[in-house]
Amino acid sequence: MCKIIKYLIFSAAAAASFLFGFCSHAGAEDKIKISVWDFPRITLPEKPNDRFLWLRKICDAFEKINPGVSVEITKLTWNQGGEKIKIAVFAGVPPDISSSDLPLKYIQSGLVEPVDDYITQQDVSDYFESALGSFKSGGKTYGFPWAQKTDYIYLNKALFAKAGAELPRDGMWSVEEFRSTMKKIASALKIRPFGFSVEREQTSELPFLFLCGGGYLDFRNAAGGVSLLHDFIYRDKISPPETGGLKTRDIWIDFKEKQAVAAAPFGIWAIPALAREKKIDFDIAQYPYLKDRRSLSHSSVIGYFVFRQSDPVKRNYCIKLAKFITDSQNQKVLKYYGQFPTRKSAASIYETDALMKKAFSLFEYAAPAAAHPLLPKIDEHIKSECQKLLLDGSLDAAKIASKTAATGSYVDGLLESGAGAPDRLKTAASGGAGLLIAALFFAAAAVFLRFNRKLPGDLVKNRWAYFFMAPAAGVFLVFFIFPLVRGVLISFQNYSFGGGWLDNFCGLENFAYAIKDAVFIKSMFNTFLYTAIVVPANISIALILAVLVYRLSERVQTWFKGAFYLPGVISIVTLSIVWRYIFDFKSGILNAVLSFFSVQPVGWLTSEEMSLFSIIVFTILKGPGGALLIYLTALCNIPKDYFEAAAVDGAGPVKTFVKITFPLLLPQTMFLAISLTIDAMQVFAPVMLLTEGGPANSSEVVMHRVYKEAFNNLNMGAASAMSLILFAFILVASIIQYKYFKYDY
Amino acid sequence: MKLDLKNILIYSVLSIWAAFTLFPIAYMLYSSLLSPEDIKIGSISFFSNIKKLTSVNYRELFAGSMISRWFVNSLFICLVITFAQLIINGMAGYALAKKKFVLNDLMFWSFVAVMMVPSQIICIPIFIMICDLKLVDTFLAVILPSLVSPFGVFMMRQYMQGVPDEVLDSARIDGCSELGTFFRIVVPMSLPAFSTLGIFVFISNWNAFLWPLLVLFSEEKYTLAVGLATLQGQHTIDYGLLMAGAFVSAVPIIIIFAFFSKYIIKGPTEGAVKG
Repeated sequence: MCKIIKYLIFSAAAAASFLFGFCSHAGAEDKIKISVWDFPRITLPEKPNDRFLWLRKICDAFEKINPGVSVEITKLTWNQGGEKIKIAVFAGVPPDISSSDLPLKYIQSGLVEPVDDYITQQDVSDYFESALGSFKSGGKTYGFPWAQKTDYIYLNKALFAKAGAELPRDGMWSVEEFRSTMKKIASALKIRPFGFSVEREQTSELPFLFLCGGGYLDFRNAAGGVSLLHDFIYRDKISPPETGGLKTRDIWIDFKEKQAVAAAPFGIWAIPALAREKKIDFDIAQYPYLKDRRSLSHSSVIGYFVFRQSDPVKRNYCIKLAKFITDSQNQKVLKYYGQFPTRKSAASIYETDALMKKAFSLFEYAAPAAAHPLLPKIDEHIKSECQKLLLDGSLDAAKIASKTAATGSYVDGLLESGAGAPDRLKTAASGGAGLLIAALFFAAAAVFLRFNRKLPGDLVKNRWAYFFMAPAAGVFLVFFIFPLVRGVLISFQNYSFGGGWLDNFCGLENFAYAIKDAVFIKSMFNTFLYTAIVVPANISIALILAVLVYRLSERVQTWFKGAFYLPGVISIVTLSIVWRYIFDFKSGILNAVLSFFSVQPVGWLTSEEMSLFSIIVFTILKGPGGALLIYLTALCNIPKDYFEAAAVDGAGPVKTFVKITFPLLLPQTMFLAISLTIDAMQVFAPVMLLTEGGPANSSEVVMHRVYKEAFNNLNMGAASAMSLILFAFILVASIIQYKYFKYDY
Repeated sequence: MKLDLKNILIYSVLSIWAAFTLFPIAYMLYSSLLSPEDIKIGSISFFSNIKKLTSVNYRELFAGSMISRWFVNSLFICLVITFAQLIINGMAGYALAKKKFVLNDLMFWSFVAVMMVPSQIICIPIFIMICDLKLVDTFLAVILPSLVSPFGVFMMRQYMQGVPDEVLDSARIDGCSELGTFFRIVVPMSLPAFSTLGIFVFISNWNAFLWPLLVLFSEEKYTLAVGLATLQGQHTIDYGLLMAGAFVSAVPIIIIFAFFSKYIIKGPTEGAVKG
């Protein structure tokens, strides 16, 4: 027996090494391969569905000039493309070239190649100064600026004419002019003419927010701007009351499809998008200014940068390619993208386009935002606080000022702790990690000792049992247990990009961070509430439907089962798009039904009170298909004699259900209760797709918080710690259910 | 069927619920048949321009993208995963339900425990492993981590506990081998559970989005869900195209559901030894 085991181990090892050698050998080739990861940015007119053709053409041209190089383009998506890059970087396998605004976090970790040696004096004079400046950090340039963008106020000319309002001259207006124009439209057309939103990662409301002073890094001075926006909604009544819960895409639909607002801020991407569809006649204007003409709109620059390269030859080609993509000739493609070039020699592309030309001339008033590695976190916090302020009509200027100051001091605290963190982390005792490793060791030892004596004999005696278990156990070990151990380790680490299994332990710091995070606590509460409603609702609806359907003829049964099951199988991504319109505040069918019964419209997704409830409704209506199938399967396996006997004894349908059907379905009910609880506690997709946790974090749930912590704030350790805390709660909930119902597994 | 009060009540409850669940889908189908000029997202004008239904979105979808390739990829990946999961989960469920080996409890409880682990926590470690194995951008990277699901093992074990021991014993006495017992007795008796699990597995993998998106890099290897996502612009969505894509991706699921539901209705364990 022993010999057989040895032989097996030997042959497995041989097979593994052969496979490994085969794989690594297959990877070797003589051409230099450069991987470019980019987003679907530009649509060329000749092939409207292919948003990468422009890049492929440029890369083909580069391959022609440099025959030893082949370029592989990986197509990212706008929804999760950023996460894909971050995960690849975390895993230590970043692409060679990618594009974004200045990647400060990666630069700080030394992951980006400086490219100063490749920028000639001629290039320097050709770049717009601010564009080149925004790719500098610490005196070095970390990439080639490619496109500049900003936001403007878009005006619906038809609505302006209808209300007899004048467009601003040269696209410039003061706050007072802006306000009186909007009020005029409001009274003439009986609408709230100015639509805007306050949303994470968007810049279109910032010029208003920081109009009276303040900024991301000194938010305590921004009270004037917040009051201004608050007044637009509640004093001047020129913006809709649900504004705090809206998103850019809602404003876009209000402006373009419904023409429900006459003015709204968007990025310059909207110019070609609106011009292409020719649905409305529009013009653009700068943001309104105060007397001292502060810089107005907010500009940002996208560029191509090169991740750290070990091979100098390849580094050379990578930087050359990044420069090639962004050179003056190739920037002409920006014409189809609706963004401004970063080189003066390409600046003529919009000569024939009156609106873009106007936009470009207004661009001189735009200024870049502050850059800071903590900006995503600060942005998220500020936006969610502003949403809260804008949703609350009872606030006056003094209260807004004090709340803004509180937010400002929170930001200050973040900035301070961010600066001091590394030292503290280094000195932090790695006690928690030590304990964990010790615990794992003892657990392994205990398992070994417990089974040591019996196991060898059992392996022979029950060899068929182990044979049946082997495939599942193998996959399970490799793809669940190993990653889980790694994930648990990460929650005790100050994990950085490409970090090893045992680097940078920081004790329980991540757990302390999670518990101190008010949004995490809120998300925990929301998750419990969601679970407490969704699980019983799903089970009871499924049970009722199953009992009703079960009595019908087979053909009718199939139809109904199909109808109930279909929503559960259609991709949630697309289903959520439809549901966003059902929940829509102004024209959604739900509010239409309410108004039929003369009930006030409800902000289903846009108010703090209803957002979580709407997600629950969505889940329940999508939900019980799976549970229904399980109940039906079980019902069909109950012998018919039982029901016949009950009928003979004179039991009515209710009594039959209570005394016979329900007890017989108890195992399925328990199974569903536990598995649905586990699922519900991990709710993620509906929140992500319908509300993104907003407005003002009112529908935030744990897994969405984890996702943002990991990919927005790049704080993998804290994200792992949060999911471990959730895991502990799921475990406790399952054990309680198991004990309480005494369900025989 | 008699049309008495009870039946009317049952039918109306079921129909109202069906209307609730089907309305969003009907709306999707409807908007996928509208031309880009007609589609008015946000204002639900259901029957106002119904004369102008067109297949332009579907034509554009098939002409302008690699959707047929993505469809085949999705089908291949999902069929492999479903087939493998049925065998692997079924075997494990059988061993856990009917074999009294020393590690039984330990293995069972670790499957149950892992079911509760939030998937985000293991996502990055698995990705690191896939990179180390040089499996990035292969179908294997999608298939391997999905070869077994703790939920599936759990479900099969629950069901197979209902298979009477007497049947297994008599099979053994009749000289049936272990493999024969499994494939000839246990599998046929557990068909409802297999078909239910098969549907679950196929559908959840057909709609899987985040993981395939992370590990598949080249366009010709995308699955349907991933490929459709690349058609969206940064700020604008072509709704008609998206809804058409959603329907194309729902078709095989509807077909498979219609086919398998027959198996779910019939309980093949009836008539075996009463336990």
